[in-house]
Amino acid sequence: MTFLSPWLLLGGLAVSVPLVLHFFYRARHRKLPWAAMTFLKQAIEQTSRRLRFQEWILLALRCLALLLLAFALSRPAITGSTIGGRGDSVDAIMVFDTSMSMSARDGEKSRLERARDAALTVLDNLPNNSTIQIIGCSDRAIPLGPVSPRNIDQARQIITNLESNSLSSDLHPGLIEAISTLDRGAGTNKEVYVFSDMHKLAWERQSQAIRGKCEEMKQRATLLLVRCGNSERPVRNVGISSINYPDGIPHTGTRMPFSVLVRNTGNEPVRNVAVAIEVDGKIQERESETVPEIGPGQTYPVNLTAKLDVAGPRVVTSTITGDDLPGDNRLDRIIPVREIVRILIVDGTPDTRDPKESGSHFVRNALIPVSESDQDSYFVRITVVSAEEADPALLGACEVCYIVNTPASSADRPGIPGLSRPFVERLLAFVKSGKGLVIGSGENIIPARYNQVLGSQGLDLLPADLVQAIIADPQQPFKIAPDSTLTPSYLERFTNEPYRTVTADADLQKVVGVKTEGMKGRVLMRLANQQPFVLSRTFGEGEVIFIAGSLDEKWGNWPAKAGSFLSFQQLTLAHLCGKTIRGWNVTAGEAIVWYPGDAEAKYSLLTPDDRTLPLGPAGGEPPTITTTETVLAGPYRIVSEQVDRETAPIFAVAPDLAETNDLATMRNPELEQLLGFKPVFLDAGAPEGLKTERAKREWTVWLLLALFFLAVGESIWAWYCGKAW
Amino acid sequence: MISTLLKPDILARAEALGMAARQLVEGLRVGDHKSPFRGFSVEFVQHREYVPGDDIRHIDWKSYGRSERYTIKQYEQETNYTAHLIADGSNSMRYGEGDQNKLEYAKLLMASLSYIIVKQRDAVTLRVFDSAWRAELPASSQMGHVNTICKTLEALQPADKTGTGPLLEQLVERITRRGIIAIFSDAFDDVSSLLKGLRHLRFRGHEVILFHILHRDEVEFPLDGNVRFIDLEGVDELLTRPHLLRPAYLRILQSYLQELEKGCDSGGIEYVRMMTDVPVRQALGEYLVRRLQRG
Repeated sequence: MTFLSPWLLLGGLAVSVPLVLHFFYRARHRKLPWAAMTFLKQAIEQTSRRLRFQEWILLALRCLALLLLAFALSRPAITGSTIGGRGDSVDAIMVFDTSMSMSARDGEKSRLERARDAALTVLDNLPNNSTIQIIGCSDRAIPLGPVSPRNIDQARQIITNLESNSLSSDLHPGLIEAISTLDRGAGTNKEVYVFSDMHKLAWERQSQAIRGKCEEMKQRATLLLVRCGNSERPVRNVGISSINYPDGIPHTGTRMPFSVLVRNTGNEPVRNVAVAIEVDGKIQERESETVPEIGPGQTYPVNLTAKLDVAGPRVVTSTITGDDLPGDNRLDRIIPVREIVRILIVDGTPDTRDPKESGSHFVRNALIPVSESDQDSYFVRITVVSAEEADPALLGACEVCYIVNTPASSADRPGIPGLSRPFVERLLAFVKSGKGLVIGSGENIIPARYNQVLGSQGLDLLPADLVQAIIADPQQPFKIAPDSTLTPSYLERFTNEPYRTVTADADLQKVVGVKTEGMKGRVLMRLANQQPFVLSRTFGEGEVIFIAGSLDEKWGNWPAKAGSFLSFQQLTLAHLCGKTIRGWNVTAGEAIVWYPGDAEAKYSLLTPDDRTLPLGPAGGEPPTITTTETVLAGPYRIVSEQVDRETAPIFAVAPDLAETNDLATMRNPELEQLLGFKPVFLDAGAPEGLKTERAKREWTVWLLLALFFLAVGESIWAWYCGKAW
Repeated sequence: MISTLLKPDILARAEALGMAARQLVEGLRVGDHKSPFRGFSVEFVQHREYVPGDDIRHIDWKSYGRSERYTIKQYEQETNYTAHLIADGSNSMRYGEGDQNKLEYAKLLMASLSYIIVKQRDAVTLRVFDSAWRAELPASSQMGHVNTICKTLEALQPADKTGTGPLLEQLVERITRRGIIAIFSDAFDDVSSLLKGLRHLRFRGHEVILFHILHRDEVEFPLDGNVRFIDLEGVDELLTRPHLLRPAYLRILQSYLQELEKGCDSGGIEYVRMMTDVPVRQALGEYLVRRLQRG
């Protein structure tokens, strides 16, 4: 508790007045000679104790009344020395939760609209000479102004123009910024308003830190939490989790099947959800489907197709309608559409007479699963070369390189050519640039030599160093364990039927051993004896896949198991081809990184809401443009004077679905428990509360009311004392 | 010189009403009032058997002629009375300002009564007391005696506290003939002692009248503020706020008045309360009318 006019507490000294009057009143009297003294004495004898009691009560009431008056005039308030009462200027700081959940419409208005209205009400009721600072907050804090804290009109404009974004909630940065703003304020009466839907994520993501900041704030300002959600109406929400293209590599000339995963994150079923998909914003080619109902927590895959006409990075956009929260109703994804996918297979033992003796045969058939007559028109083009033909230049034209049963160098196996040094060195840059490398095992692989050339002692490309091959008992061949597949990984489909059974059915007689100590990659799939079978290592922008088994039938019959081997190769190819666009799809709030060719040009970021944000020239080596101004979901482009909008690199920003995974909000008691104290709770839907809150915090009115009743009580008591007995 | 205590307007009304004795009085002269003695006057009362020693002049010869028995004819004697005016001259009678001063009021009453009593050829005496007898005037029915009474009253200055009861006991022995004893006092004394004295007087056959002189303040206690009460008959002083004591004071006073009034009533003593804010002319007139009506 504090006093807004503490010097008026000195008025409490007035309590001495009735005391003085009480003790010195006897000096002021009139003398009266009296005959009936006997009766008077008897009357005094009968009433003196009562009279004394009455007088003390009266004295106490009068002293209390004076103390109460002084107390009321000193304007006591609830908390802290920073609180303002009615009429005193206030340094107000408004922190607006602008996260995605604030776009939810849980009534006639959205939460953000309610926050805006409430803030304008607060603004209109600020005392004269007050200042205002506005901070936008989602997972980051953005001071929004006004430039001059006393410019209320500008503040009003800022509030009116507030928009929600696609970020998730975290109030901690906003509170840090608010405390920093408090430091800059010169006044003593400070109020921090937090306009939020009180989304659990916002408070619990950094609960301890938030508690600390709120404690700090409590010492210096009044913390007012303005609830902007409608607690009586739950939010119905379905959001697009992902857009998948399960059937391989997007390429031109086809209608590509997409699977749009729609998830209900609310607590109520959502009916008649219209799901649509389009490419590059071509509304006329949009395909849509209506889902009758999606239950709470249910994820519903909607299969749609989209026509891919032009090669290159394309924006696939899926939208849904029919719920209350629009923030996650649109998802943009950049997909690399290819006209042709070129693959280089370096085979250590190519056999043109009996192709089945070489691994390249099985890989080729798996990667081009069409009849021979259609192979020329198929979008996957494969070049098979021997190790000695493997020119580094060949790598420049391909997306993925397979090294099948090839010695690490020509010296490894007499008579069998190995990888040339230039080719090996080029492999390093190849993978780094985002391309894929698949290494298959076989008799030509000498583990020690591989370690020296491609492993930890050489280029360090391998997921793990290799050890001697392990040979199985002919009666008990090794079995692949699809259940051991790493989840999540691009191979997780192998844990499901039919891939699971057919894969587990394969027999392997021999595999290359893997040294698990100091392993730098991940094991994607193991054998039944836990021996690593498929390993992966991300290297630069690209990835290296190592298969411990052979890709021909010499070490087992897995390559002949079309249901497993073909799928494995297709998934691996699709996975590795997608590597090149991985940085183009980011989640809201994440950084967009681009390596421009021209380091001198000045670049700008075109946002989904058609704003242009200057980025400046590229910096660093290699020249890099990095921006985290990805607060809105949608397509972004980085443009310069030399690069026009159409040809500029495009990036897709997805909404941060962490925000909508759980839409639960914190109730006031929960907030109180989290903060460790009770802040001022307000409801944005109750403007009267906003108007009168400041007056409520000052006790003057209540004290004056109490004083009134005390005075009435004193009068009644005085009357009663004079009347009866 | 006519005393200031004799107000023509009071006397005019009182004189017309007069003050007759309501009981038998023993006088020395023939007068208007009934005497306990049987004599030879106008009013026949009874016959009685002649006994030796009776004056033979009183034998009713007509009765002898009819009954041949000697009988004596008796008549009621009418005589004058002596009114004993007893004034309380204690300090407590000093309360009140101007005409409402209790002693002044009592003086006016006594002067007026002495005038009308003498005027109807009855005798009047005056006694003044406080804790002892301060002044005593002999009985006389001369008009000049009224002046003496008035001068005595005018000269009266209270000097001591009250002691009514014992003094009345003394008075019983000093007044031998039955008459009217009128006591003018505020009676702020021990009630039982006072009543005892009054009853004793009554027992001796006197008509006893207690004129209870009170000030309105003493009866209603309408005082306010912070007041230091100074005892008129002592040294006590009390600083208090009378409005807070008023209910208790009135309760006690009422009890006292009831006790006094009831005591007088049961003892055949006439109790007459006189409030000093009621003019003497009115109060005396009303009293005399009441007395006349009662016979």
